[in-house]
Amino acid sequence: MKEKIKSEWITRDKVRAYLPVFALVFVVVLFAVLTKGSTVKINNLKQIMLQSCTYIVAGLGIIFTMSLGNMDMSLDGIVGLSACLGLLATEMTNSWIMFPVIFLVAVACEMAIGGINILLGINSVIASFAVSFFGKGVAGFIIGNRTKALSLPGEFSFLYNRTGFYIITLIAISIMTVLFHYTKLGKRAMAIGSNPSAAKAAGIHVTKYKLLAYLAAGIMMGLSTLLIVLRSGSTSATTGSGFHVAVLLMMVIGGASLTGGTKEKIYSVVVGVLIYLCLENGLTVLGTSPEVIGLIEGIIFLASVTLTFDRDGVPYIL
Amino acid sequence: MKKKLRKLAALGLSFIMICSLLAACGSTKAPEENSAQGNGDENSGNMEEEVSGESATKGESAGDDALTVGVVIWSTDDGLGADSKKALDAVAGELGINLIYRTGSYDAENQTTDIENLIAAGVDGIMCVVIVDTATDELLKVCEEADVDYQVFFRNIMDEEAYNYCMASDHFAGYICEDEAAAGVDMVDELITQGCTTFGLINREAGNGVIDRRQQGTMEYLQEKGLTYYVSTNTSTATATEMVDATDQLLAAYPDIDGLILSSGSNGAIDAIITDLEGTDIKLTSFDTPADIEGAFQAGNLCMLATGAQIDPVYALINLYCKMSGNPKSETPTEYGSNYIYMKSAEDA
Repeated sequence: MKEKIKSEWITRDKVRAYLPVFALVFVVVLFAVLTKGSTVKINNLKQIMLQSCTYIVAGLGIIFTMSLGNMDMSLDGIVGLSACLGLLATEMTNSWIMFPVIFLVAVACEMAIGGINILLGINSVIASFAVSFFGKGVAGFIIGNRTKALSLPGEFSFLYNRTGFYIITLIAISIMTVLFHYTKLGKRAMAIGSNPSAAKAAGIHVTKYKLLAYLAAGIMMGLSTLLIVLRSGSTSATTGSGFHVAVLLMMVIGGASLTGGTKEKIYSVVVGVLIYLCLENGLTVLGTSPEVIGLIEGIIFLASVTLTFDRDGVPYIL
Repeated sequence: MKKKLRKLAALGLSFIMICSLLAACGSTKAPEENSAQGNGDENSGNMEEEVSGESATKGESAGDDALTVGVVIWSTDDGLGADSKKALDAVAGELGINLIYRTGSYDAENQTTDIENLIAAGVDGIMCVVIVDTATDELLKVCEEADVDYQVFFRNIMDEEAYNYCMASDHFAGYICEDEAAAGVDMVDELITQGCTTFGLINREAGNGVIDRRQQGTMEYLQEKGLTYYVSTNTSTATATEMVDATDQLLAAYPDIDGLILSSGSNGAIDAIITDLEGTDIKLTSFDTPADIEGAFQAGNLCMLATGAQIDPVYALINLYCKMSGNPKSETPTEYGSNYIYMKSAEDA
């Protein structure tokens, strides 16, 4: 009887829901104490918020495909390709064309993954890796044939300001929260992720909602790429390198389920990104060596996956 | 039982996580203890005060007022990266400077984040091996905003707009790099002396100012001499294994190649390629240094190394230190041109 009460009180769902929030509070408080308040100074918090914008925006899109149970490993390639083609178009035409090009390329890449996955029945991880290699390959080819990297024309540099980044990110969070939790798109994507056969039997147009989820991911990836370009002021063949791993790591730390389904929450993106960045920032402020930072991130990732992985969603694994 | 085990495993991992975190944190001092800091404005205030007093002995009397410099570098565990760290640590010890390293960032955005975090750590100056040449000025802008000085090493600035911006900035200490194009020419000459007639260039993609100049100088000279050469272009983040694969593929596609020029052997690529070529007659020259230089020459394929760049970070740190201390080497940012040291045998090593 005692055991039963215990297991009801500490369920995996509750752990997944609340642990990341506690972890965020823990990390913030821990580093505030260890650095004697340096990490919670307004300037530093603003900096962390600024750094978080690109990751949060990307995560807000990827949560849609993750809710389908589809992992997306293409983010680095999408960022590299869309940034490269966007800046190249602007350089050639000396116009604002960069903006639509970045969005179009990002959407096309995500739709390609969705299309390959749905129409050809190829696993989304494989499809996303293929798109990643394609993106990096094309960007590398374009940059490789130049004598220097592509840069953002000076007249666009005014677009990079903190307030603008914060506002864009807040608007994105608001819209995507509504879209994910309160519209058919989000709910049906999660239903498909929970059980595609049951969703189909219930009359959900699986193909349509899968593609719509990839469309949402593509739009957010376009926005994220735009923020990256504005922030770094340039793009090279290495732009976006490691981005897919970082976003995935952040989402998992935030409690996102790798197996998709109805347990996905938008806040896990925001919380995960903030935990990761506060951790990295705090360890840097303390002067911790990069190798140790990598080790700690690895351990936290392992612990997060162990605590939050939804085995019920993939019974065939065990 | 199985569930209990899982929970125990999860708890165990969490425990390890927290212990690691605390162990790592406990090994370092809080920023206030590390250096004279707080925020950028406070730093400059402290510095000006001291400079007007005993600037010459500032480093020696380090203690609580020691300067802190953030070092953004690709790695500190490959050949050149490790040597750079060793040299920097030694000089920083002498000058009483605290160093904080950030490694592994291969694009402009991640380097921006590194610099922002270092500024949050209260550094007084930043030394950076800039990955994307055209972003050099953008990284400087982050430092300017925080009133922190900025020094570039192992790099020059090829982009005109970025160059002009940096050279006009009060926070830019300068840059230091080698004559890359001339070294490329000398490598070709050395391979010709060794009897090579067909050349293979293991290049990296464009965007890195230094590597671009190496490759450009080498290719222009090969074209000028009318020599046959083939190029394998690799990504900037290519690992040692990927670089070996690229080398093998180039050699398989063009079996006539008897001389190889490696424009960047970072992250262990040079060591891996030397091992890969062992037993063949192909001659190799490289811009990056293997971990075991003597052993690399003894293996038989390596005939020339352009090295000695390990001194760059030392110059860069001293130059930045002078600027941070209020005694800049010159009124405008310094542009150091350092010469490579050529090694051609195990004896030279």
